[in-house]
Amino acid sequence: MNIVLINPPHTAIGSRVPDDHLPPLGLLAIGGPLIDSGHQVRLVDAEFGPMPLAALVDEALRGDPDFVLIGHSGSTSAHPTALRIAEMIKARAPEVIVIYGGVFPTYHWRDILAATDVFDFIVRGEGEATVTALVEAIEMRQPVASVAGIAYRDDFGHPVATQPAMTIADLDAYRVGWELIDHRRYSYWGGKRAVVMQFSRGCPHLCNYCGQRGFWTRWRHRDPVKFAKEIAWLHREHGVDLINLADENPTSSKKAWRASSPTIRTRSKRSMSRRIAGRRSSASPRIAR
Amino acid sequence: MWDYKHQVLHMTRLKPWMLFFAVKLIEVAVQARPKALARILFHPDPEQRHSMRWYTRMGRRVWFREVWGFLARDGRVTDGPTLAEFWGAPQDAEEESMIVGRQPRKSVAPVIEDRRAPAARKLAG
Repeated sequence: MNIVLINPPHTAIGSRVPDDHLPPLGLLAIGGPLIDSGHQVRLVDAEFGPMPLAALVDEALRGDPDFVLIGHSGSTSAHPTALRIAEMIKARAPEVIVIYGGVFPTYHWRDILAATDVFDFIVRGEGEATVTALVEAIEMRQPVASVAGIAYRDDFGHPVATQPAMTIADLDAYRVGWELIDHRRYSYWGGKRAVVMQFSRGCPHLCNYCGQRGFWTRWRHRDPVKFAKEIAWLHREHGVDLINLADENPTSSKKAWRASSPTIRTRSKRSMSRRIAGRRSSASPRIAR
Repeated sequence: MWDYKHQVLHMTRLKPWMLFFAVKLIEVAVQARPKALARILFHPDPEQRHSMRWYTRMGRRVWFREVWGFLARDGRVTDGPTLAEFWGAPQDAEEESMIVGRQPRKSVAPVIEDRRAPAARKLAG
């Protein structure tokens, strides 16, 4: 199937103030498994410019895609933009199936599906396995009700959700589709070539102001050595100098975190920067090295 | 513009402009401390120095952008939606978006009798 991934132009300060842009990791994370399932996948990243919505829709519909996937990296403030994009796509190409995912639609699927019919499906929770299963079900003309972790409107137009998806037990079972981006376009810290990565997902702490724990459901981490090898590969092959870790709490297992560092040092030609956002209580000078 | 920082819904004593400019003043006061300035200007690690200067530059842009937005661009409404109207019904029961999948058990390699590894430890005597 012909699939286009859209990263909407975000309106939030974090996207509009810096001159640098980081790759949309969430979309690349579902792009990799879709490519590996044999689909033709393309990314339209509207953060550059930012791209006007009309130009974005032109670019997305070039090549007559079967599916358009809109993700917005968990940002509630991007929902109005994502909605406008879906409306414009449906107005021009009603046959294109629009799938929407991210933290906001995961929790607000009822409101979204009741208010509009421009989103055909909403993916709830992690997208790698769910989107792949959904696209395959539609391609094979199987009932979508058998796909866990989605929401849609039933024959009567009522929003319904299937059973929640299972968390991905082995995060290394799915790869990030790095080939979807030109690494030369993405930077951070004022021009340093950069990517976003995740060593772990979720958080074991129970802070009541934060929704990350619930979205990811359970703290899990990648194999430290495989993670470190991927960083070293990005550094060697694509000149990536800075890794922005999107983890909520990468050092929850200090043993696993420490295990990644020697491999990075050994396999990278020179030192790299790792920018970590996490709990201060989890950090120590030794961990931070 | 709406982002994670703008979450004040109601105040009993301060007017919005009082709170806004109090926060902006605190930001300037914290960033302009001699110790903070010295760290940005003279940190011995060039990479750290570069990153701190970049964050400071971005912070300065954000500061002016937010002040401009408050004074001239962003309109405040008096008849906006309530929190319940904006967010809908409570979703406490749906906090976890998925169900936990267990890591499959690793298969155990078959042991070939004549290649059995010697016992790691043998008792003396």
